Amino acid sequence: MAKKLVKWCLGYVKIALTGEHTNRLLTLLKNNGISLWDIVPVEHGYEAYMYKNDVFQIKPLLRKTESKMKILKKYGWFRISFRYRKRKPFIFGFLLCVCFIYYFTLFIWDIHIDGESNYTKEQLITYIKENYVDLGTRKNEINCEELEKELRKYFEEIAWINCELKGTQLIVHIRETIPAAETKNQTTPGDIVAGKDAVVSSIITRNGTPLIKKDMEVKKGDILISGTIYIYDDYNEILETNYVCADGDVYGKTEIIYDDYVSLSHYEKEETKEKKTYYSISLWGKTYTPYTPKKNYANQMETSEEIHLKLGENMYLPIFFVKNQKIEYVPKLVNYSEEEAISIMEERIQQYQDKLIEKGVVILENNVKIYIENGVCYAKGSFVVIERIGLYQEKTEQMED
Amino acid sequence: MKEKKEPLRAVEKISDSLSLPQDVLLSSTILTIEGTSKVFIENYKGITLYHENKIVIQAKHYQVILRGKNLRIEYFNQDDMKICGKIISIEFVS
Repeated sequence: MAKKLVKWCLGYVKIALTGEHTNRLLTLLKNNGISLWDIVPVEHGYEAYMYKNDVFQIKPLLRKTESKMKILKKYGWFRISFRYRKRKPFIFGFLLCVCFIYYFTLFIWDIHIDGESNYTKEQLITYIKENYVDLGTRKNEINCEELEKELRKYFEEIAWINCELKGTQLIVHIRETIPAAETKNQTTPGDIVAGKDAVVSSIITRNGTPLIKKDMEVKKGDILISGTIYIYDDYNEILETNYVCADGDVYGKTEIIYDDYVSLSHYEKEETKEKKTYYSISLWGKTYTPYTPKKNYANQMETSEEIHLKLGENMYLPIFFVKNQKIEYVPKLVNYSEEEAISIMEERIQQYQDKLIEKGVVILENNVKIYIENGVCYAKGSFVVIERIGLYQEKTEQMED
Repeated sequence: MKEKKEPLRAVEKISDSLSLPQDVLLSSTILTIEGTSKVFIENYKGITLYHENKIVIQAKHYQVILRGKNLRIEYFNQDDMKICGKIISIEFVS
């Protein structure tokens, strides 16, 4: 393959050699360092392939051996350049396009988030765009480690985060859980404190001094595992005080309040067949809309669908095609029956429970009650759960005092 | 004939004593044969005859005659050449 590519780049021709002394010609070609390949004997001579540049060297040898050479076919890059010699602007445009694409690939043109559940994609992307990486930032200016730290600091419920650059895309992988006592990367001494009011159900201490016991009631902010270790002498007096990064798992029984409602009568948007479509193009953050319909419907909803131009999977370019639509609708009053409203509410509660289980929470009791009052279906109550309550907190000077 | 062979022997002796390959000092032709379908020839002087059934290669002191069917020179350059086809015999003629 590599050989073929070299041949194609250098350019080669298929030739027919005829004459009475073609064997001598082959010997002379060899002695003059001219290479031939795929040599086939034909009537009155040979057919073979040779490099384009050797064609000019062969002429004196042809005269010496009284032979003739005919070029049968040309191959390679030179043939294309010769064919398009009158289309220089096209070649120039093509090369310019290649240069532009290369230039575009030096920047970030898309931010992708995955693994989010409590936080929304928009929330995370907006924060990243406003505070750290806006679209169009050079890739070599992005420090993924710093971004990870920033996001972890701002979004407290992120337990694990990883940022990577792929093509022109910044990909942020996150995992959300209840604030966990992450001490693996901690270097500053600190304690594990209660993240919420709870009754301790279990405690495992890996490092530090536990200050609580099972079945103890704790308030938010109480120290559960202290990062201060006292070393006593034989007379029970403090000999030495060490400050460490407290580490351990503390689970507690807590109560989660649930409050939701559904109106039995509500309005739904019923779309009519009337809609207006118009298109926009967005280049380097600027949007151009050649035509916008002036007439608005009395009741309308606007939608837009973005198509982000990309090469391959991750090579996004700063070009968006936007399809906008103005859709007319008629507001329609819809009434749920009591059974329907209750089943909707039950479904919502189930979804909420599934979300809690996904986060590693154990549900002990479900005290949510569903009832209908004044045309509204309410679901009010609480869940009694066991969840991780420990939260790492660095020691401050005041605390140490 | 004897006078011609003597200097060759001397060179051969030198190459043996210095552990040098003979093709460097004697410009011997090297034939590498792969089964009966491929022959690589190095240190040759020229091509004397090229037919489908017979190829004659000129070496320094002799000729190499290859006989076979559908013989074809796949490539040649200043240093070596490759011959493909059904090779029946290889002869050396002084």
